[in-house]
Amino acid sequence: MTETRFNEEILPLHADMFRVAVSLLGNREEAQDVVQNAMVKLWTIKEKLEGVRSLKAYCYGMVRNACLTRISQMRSTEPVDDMTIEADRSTPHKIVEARDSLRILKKAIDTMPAEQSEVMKLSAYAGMSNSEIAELTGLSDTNVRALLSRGRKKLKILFSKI
Amino acid sequence: MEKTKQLLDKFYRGETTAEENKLIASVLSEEDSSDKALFDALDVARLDVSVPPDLEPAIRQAIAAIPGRRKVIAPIWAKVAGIAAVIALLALGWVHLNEPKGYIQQAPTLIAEVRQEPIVPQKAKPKPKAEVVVTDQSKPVEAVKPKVKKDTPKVPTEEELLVAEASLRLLGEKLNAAGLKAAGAAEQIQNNNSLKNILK
Repeated sequence: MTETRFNEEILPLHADMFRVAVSLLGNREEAQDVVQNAMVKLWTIKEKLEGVRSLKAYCYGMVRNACLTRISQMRSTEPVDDMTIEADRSTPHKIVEARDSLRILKKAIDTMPAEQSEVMKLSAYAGMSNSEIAELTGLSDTNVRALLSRGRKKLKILFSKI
Repeated sequence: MEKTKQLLDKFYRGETTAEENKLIASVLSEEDSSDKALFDALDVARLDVSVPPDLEPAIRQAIAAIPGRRKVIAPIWAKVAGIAAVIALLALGWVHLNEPKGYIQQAPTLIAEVRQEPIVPQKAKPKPKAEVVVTDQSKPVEAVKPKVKKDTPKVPTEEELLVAEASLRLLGEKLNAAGLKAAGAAEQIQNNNSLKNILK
């Protein structure tokens, strides 16, 4: 792959790669680091990318693997402060409630099967549409819908018991 | 209420859009406690996924810093120097082909220089007359052309060798001058590329 083609086809993917990394890691600085390393690696292997059918799915896979490696190296405590807490939850009681709900939600999603967990994170944390998730992950729309349906029903049961 | 129920069913089927999710969150009441708790948590969980403006420049900088990438520059420099040398040689050849008489005119001077003799102007040699042979007076007289020996190798004279030597010497001097010019041009191009890298 030539330098020109890399700049036209791979470099613009950094935006989607960042969104994926932030969703999976929950941390913007870590996500930026992961994306930068992935782009450098992609540059060094650009000659081998000629035969790749879906560059977007390939780049997503690279970012996903890097994020999973980082998650396994990170401590188990979630970076709750990185999550956005809106202004209307300004009372201490509401802030505590929000953080508790968030902690429960994150724990529930993290314990789901890997594929389902990723789809739920891209939907819940990044606000991606079903078609965007399907394009990034290489899954079909039907598969994405099924994974989201099962995941959300699990969360409903969990929150009904709280 | 009915519409809210339909949207909730759609949400749990995994078919809602982000806008529909926001709409559901805004219309849920305290009566739908489990659904409301879930949507409140999802609302809080939304991350800022906007791309930092300095991410792309940082990526470009990281790629530019990869060792070994500068190897791309050297072949371009070599190509430019090669092209400059070829152009110089072609120009020299053109000059040489367009000035043949100059060499011939300079030949006696050059020969005299080589022999270290005074220069003597040459006289023009008379042309040989055609031989006429009369065989029969009734028939018209035919001029017989002088016989020319064919397919015999011509041995160059000393004069011709000296002319050739002088011509080659001149050619060599001009080639040296062209080569120096090409090397100078190539060095300038390399310096310009170095300046560009420093400025980057």
